[in-house]
Amino acid sequence: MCLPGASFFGMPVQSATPTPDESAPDRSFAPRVEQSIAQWRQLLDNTARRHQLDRDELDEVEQDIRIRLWRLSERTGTADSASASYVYRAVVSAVTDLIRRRRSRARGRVSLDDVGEVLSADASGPPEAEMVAALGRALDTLDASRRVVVRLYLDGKDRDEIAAILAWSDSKVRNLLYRGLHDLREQLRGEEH
Amino acid sequence: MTDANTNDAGLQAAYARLLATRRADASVELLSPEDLLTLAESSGDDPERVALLDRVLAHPVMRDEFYLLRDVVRARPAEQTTATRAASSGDVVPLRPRRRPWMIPAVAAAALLVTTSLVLRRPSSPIDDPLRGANASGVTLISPAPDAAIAAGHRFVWHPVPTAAEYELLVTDRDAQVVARTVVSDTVAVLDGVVPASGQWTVTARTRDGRDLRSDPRAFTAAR
Repeated sequence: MCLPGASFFGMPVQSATPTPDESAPDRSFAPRVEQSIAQWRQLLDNTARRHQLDRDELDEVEQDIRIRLWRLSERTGTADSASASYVYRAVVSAVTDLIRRRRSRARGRVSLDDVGEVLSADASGPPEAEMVAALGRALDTLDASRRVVVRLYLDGKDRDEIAAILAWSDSKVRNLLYRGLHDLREQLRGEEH
Repeated sequence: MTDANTNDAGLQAAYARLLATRRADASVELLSPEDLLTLAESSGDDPERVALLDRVLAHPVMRDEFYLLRDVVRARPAEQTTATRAASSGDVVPLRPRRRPWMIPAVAAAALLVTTSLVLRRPSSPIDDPLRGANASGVTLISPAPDAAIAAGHRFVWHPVPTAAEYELLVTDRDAQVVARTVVSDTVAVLDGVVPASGQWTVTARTRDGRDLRSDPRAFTAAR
């Protein structure tokens, strides 16, 4: 037990240099790694479907998690190090790396889906194109709290999801959404005149 | 502007087109994946976070990445027992207080100072408001604030849990490596040494009946 106000950070990360035998990863770690990955597989599969990750990308994420957990095993030589929080951090690190790779691949490339969406916006004719531009301007006039709630709503999120994303109460979200949409419509009608 | 344009469906369709036109806008500086993750893991309604969210949601690439990370964050284990496992692993040395005779009055003074500062901070602390994301069933963190820049000597402070026997403070770097861990009986611990460039900290309260109550993780960066 430390005294109140104990100091830390000045400590070595490794307790001692392991002997060659000790530095070998615990072979019983393999099933534990696979068990950890299996626990996340359902979530990863669902997430992949929802966010249009392809099979290769999902495999990359799984392999990344596996490598991170194995490295931990090599460093510690124990199978008990993969706490739930460590596995979670391994998963989010793998996903952030995936995002980085996706950005790198997408640099300089435009997907056909995007082209289609933009073309359909252009092809919708002046009235609709003007509506899109007016919406952008109207959003800019909203107060930041209202705007972020309205954006989420226009993105198809329901009130519960918005409250969860923002960690705000339902009544606060309801109030901001109601006022935000009202202001937005007023602004759009004002543009008409 | 017709009613069909300004009803919910019309607005949602127009918004989808608006974002589609922004996807290929190379002039927008994208937030780093780490910043998006911090945003997905954080809560509260401080103006900076709201402004950042607004910026993320206004760009379809960042928005999609944010939703992806949020789905993963939502699957985070609700209550973890990192304390016991981290302690049993060789990953981190359990930290011990540096007991020095001169520290006794200094600690007493520090404790008094911290108590005073807590009393002063509580009325203005946004996390005291239950509508603003306070963690009612776990530990509520006080300082450093989310994404604060900290330096060596910084004091980590959290609200007491009435039934807690001890608290474990765990600090990880941006790669989720545990860089420091300490167990204390009070609600404060001092950062002394090299601070990682960025990372997170969490506090787990171990109650007298053996339960672990964990705070939400909170991000920090090293002061330059």
